Amino acid sequence: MLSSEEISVILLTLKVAVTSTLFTLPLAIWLGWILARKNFLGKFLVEGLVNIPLVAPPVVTGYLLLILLGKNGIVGSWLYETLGIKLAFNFAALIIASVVVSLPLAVRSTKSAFELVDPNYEKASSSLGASKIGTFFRVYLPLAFPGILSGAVLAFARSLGEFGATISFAGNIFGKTQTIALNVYSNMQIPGKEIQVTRLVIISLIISLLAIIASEYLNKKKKYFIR
Amino acid sequence: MIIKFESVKHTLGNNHFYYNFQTNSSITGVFGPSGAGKTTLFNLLSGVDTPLKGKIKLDSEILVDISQNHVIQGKNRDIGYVFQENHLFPHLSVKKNLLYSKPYIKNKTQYISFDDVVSLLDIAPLLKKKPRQLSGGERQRVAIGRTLLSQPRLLLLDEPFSNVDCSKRKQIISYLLRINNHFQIPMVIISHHLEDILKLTRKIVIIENGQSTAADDIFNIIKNGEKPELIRSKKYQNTFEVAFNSCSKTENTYSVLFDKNTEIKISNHSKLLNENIDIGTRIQLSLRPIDIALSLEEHEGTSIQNQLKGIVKQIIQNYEGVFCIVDCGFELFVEISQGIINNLYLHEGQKIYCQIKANDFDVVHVFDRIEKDEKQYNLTDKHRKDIAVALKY
Repeated sequence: MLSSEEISVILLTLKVAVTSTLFTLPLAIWLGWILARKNFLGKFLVEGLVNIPLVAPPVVTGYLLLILLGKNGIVGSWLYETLGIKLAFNFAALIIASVVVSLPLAVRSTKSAFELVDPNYEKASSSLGASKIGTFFRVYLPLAFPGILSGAVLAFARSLGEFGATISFAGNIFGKTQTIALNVYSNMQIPGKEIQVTRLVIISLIISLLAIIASEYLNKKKKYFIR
Repeated sequence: MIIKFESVKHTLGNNHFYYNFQTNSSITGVFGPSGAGKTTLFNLLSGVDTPLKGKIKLDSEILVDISQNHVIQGKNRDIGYVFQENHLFPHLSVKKNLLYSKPYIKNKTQYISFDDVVSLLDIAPLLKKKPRQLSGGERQRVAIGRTLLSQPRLLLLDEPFSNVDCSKRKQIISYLLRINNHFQIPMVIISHHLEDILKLTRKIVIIENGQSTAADDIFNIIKNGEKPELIRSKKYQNTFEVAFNSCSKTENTYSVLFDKNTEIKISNHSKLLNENIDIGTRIQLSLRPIDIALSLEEHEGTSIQNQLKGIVKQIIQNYEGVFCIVDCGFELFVEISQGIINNLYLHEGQKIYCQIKANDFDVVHVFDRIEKDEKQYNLTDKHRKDIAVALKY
């Protein structure tokens, strides 16, 4: 039913979504934790930086990434010259673009999950002899778990649909960086490809819908869990 | 255990606290109105907070001495803290809540076992439940058990009765006495209900407006004329420990002994006493001052089963009413009226009979016989084995 071209596009998209979620998640847990529970100098700056991709046009985010990490970019040129690492227009670029764009959504979810945990449990935990790290892993993390999971689902869904930052920073190279969204965009330009477009659109819709349903379910569970 | 606060000063926002007292009791009650600074005292003792000035000592160990820059961290103080809202971890079952401190007690002497806690606090049927499925009293018991299993040398309980309905309060009091007796663990209990505290102990620390204003046996506090408001009849309780002597099934009364000479009759309306109770079993009783009547002579043909001979030790008159302390071999606090003083020509040193109905004694707790034996003879496992062997032959 699906052509091998479509299958490879779908697989690449899922691979990017899964990998970027795996990178986004620990970052989102850490950022959500410090933003919810810690007070430090420049907290608002960190919060602002994390959230920029949420409000800036994704193309702008991609462009900024290119300036920063591209072969001739501020950090990218150094990476390329000293370590020989290329971060733009390849699989790494897909992941980076995806992580940056989905991070604010994931952080919002993890942050609110940590905020919902009654800090008195920390008091109880430390009175029973637990260290701060012990309390984090045995109390905060499990209590915030549904929120963290719903953040992961959101990040996954966001990454599936990522287009603007990806096309600017990773390009639209078939077989290398072309995901469902980019493939649909490319095929829309070509007459006679409507059926292929429709098929991918339907598949994309199904995956997104499932992700949102999962996220909503986990959100409801979060309230029940913490009560 | 001696707990000593030496000129301890602390400030929270606009509230200033000053604690200067010493207490040495197996159970100490901390009494005072809401917002007086009772919880702050616990926070300083347990190490949740550090005072601005002063010295805190536990027996000979200095926990805090600000002048020497010496502060022992809370987790190294081995003080168990049962919070007012008990803070049971909602994601863990009762069993996992109880075992929460297990990874952290490796270096401590374990003298309180999981099985003992579960059986003493009757937690067994709750083990698989989540905290949200428990009633207020059950939560409180689990929270106490969880803290006990962290092997503390001192147990702090902040308002253990506040989330428990009236009928269950008595149950918690009984559990606390059981724990205190079985594990020989000293306790400090915060409550703004004096009657609850007095069912547990007579040693109290009074906290008012952020300051410790008295710390002594409540009898001494009252005798010295301090804190007249404490003896308001509804709040004050005479509490004492007695030994079971005999029981009359026909009259449904139990006879208990204060000492060899003083026998009193109590009834079993609390249903805590059973028919198989052993002679010598210790029982904690409480009695309200208002339930005691005074008479110059012993009466015959009366429904009142206790007529205790005593001597008026002191008469206290204040704006709360008229009270007298009668020595019947043990001291009883009696509430009377001004008219009675005049009618009976009541004066200090006078011989008098205290008339008390069997029903008016409240049985607070019946101590387990085994607990007492172990405590008295200090049995070790080896002793037990020796006894078992001796009994066999």
